[in-house]
Amino acid sequence: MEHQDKIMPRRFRGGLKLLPNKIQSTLTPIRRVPIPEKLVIPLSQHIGRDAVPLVKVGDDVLKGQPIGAADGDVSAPVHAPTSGTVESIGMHPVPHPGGLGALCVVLRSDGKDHAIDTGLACLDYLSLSPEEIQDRVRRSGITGLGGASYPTAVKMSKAEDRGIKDLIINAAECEPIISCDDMLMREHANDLITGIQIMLHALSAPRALIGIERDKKRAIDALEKALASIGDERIVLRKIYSIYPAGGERQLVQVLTGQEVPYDGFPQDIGYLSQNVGTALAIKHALIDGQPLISRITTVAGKGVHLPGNVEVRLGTPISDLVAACGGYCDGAEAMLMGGPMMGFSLTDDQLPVIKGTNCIVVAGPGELEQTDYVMPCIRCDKCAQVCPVNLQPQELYWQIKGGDLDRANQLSVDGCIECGCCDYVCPSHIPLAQYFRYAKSELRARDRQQEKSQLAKIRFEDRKTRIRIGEDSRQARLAARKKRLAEGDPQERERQIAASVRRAQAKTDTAVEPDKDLSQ
Amino acid sequence: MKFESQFAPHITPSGSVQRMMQRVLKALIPAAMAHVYFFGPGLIFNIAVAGGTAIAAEAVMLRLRGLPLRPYLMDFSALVTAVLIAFTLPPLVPWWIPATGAIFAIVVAKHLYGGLGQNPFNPAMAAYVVLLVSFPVSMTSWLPPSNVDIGIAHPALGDSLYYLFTGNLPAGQAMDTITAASPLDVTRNQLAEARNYTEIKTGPLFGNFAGKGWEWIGIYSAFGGIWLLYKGVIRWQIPMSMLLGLFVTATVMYLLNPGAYVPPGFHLFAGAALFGAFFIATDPVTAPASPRGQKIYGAGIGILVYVIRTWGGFPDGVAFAVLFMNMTTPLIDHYTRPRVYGHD
Repeated sequence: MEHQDKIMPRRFRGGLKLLPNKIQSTLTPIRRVPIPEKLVIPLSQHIGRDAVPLVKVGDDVLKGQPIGAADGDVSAPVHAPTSGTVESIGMHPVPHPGGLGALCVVLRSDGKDHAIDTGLACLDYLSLSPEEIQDRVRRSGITGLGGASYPTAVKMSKAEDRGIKDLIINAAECEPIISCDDMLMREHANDLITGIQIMLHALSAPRALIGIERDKKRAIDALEKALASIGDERIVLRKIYSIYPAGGERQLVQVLTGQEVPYDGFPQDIGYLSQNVGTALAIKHALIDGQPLISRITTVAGKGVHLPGNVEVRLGTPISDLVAACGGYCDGAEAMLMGGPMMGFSLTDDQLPVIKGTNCIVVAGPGELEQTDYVMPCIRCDKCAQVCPVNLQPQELYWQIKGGDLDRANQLSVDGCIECGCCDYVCPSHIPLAQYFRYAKSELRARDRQQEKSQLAKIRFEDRKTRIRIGEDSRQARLAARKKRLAEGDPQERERQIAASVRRAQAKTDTAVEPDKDLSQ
Repeated sequence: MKFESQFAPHITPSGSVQRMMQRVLKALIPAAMAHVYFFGPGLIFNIAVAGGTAIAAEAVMLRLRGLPLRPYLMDFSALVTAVLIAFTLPPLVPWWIPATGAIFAIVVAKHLYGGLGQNPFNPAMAAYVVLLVSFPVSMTSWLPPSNVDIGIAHPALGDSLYYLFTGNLPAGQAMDTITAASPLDVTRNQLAEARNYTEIKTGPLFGNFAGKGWEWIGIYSAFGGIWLLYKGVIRWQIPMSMLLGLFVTATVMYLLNPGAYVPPGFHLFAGAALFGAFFIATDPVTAPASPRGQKIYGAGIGILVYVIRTWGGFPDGVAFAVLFMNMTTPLIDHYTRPRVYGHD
């Protein structure tokens, strides 16, 4: 524990010192939100392909029972958060930046909360092979709980293949207002360490670095205490400066290791794997307690709720229940966000369900979310470039994207934008820059997909042409050979063959209306 | 409960164009006070005429372009341009000079190129150059600073106003009798007559660092500029590299031949060097965006100021140097783009 008082050097460029605004939600312990009567569980809560429903309307399910199966390699299963009956399966609005809907299983709780034996638990996880643990993580439906919701098992198996120097545990939680990881560390430090140990085993990794912002004093105390009692030399706490976005995956890797992640790669390409603390805790719940990912800790904050705080909530619970557990709305609650003020997106309805990626709900009070009055032209002040953690030239990207030149934006690496919103915050013209970059990225991605598709179609067409040509060539060759044989062979045999072929041709014309018959010949 | 949809960003931005421009105006106050102290109230008249004309021209152009008046008039950018123009003018000029300058800056240099943020050239400098070539006599007739004792008294307030509105002094007074050459002019002419600087600076116009009065306007603009740096409105790269470019070039030339060239300290404090370094060259619209590009840009201005002052056709070269480097901004931007995270 020689690193205890050392703070990692700053190491990443740009970024912002923002008011944390986290105290309000860390004054009280994590509360539990009661299980609602009706849960709406989306089958798409992760990056990758939607899960496929495993239940029918009317089925009785138990808590922890899979209700959606992973579809393909990059996907994650979904489990029943409590016991009850499947009421319906259909499209419902879900939390999504574009306000899209998704296929959801609607579950009516029976209030008993009976659990199924998931077979995920293993008291001695060290007896399991890394692959076996990864498989159990996959079956638990665990996704990155920091907000990105990438299926954790996929990340782990890719990483283990390549060999991992350090497992990086992201405890930075740099975005203002959000405090769910902070509270998780304060209250579940021991379980968190267990989760990290399981992950170290599953990755055959020699060391884990916990990157935490130095101003989370109580979380640091709790982790130090837990580490001291568990005494695992492989797990090291590293304090970092509180600069937004120090908790961005690429920034945290840079702060902790001094290395940059290649622009077209992942941390695992350079020997690091980063996981959020919530994910580590979920792995502990799965492997030790046998509980798949059916609940999470969510911050509820903002001037629009009476008692801001953190809640433990079953997935599928309507957001209104979280607000109710936090004392309800204040007068003048006027807007709702999922995620923090920098990277979150606005919600228009509090009946939307909590999903795996719901790390924070902000209920804004009067005047808390001032909408930009009027967007002024860019004056090229380059404040955006000064704060950009990935060293982009946002003013130039904005210029190109606004002019419709997405190719140029692509050349200027718009894809490297981590959408942290630092540029938005400092822009004196109040241009929603990150929004422009999100748009450009999605357009470019859509175009790539379109290009891939047409490329594929072209290849298929060329293949077909080749097949037809080969078929035609070989038919011609066959005919030529036969003609030659006939010309050279016995004249009687030739007569016989000709007669037979005339008969065949006759038969063909007779049955032309029923072509099926002829095909067998 | 239903909510209105909100657009990102969901955090109140830290500043605004309006606040930036207001700060530039505030930062000009010390220099303006020094200007008034040494040259009388002319600057105030010029600011009033140029400011009023600029705002009116801005309003007309916005209306013609179908843009909302309020956000653009409230951004104070037209006023900043007007004040900068006023600083370039001699204290005693007829009203049509600031008015023409303001109209040219706002209508031609700014709006005809697309308005705020789109102009390739610094509008105030473009206007200054137009005025200089159009009204060369008026634009070079400076009153001597008030602390220079060469027997010339500044005209009375009423006479100044009379001149402002009519372009003539009251009967019996001639412009020639109340104006004096500027220190840069004097230095230039006397160097041409093969006198060296040690001799030249014994003249009544010369003070501690450069021209009497002028040097203090430079120093007070630097105070304002340092406050802008502290407030984060401008960055250090451009002023520092411009002053360094000027200083280093002047030092090299002075060391080569101290008799034929002026010492570097004079160049820093003379004319518009300090004012230009903090208030003109730092215009973000017309300057490169990357720190490396800004250093190249600033150094280019500094070197050009020296070149124009020493070998060019004008006593001071800040305006031409800035306009010239404005032209290179897209090129510099192209070659100084920083490396993006994760790229080699």
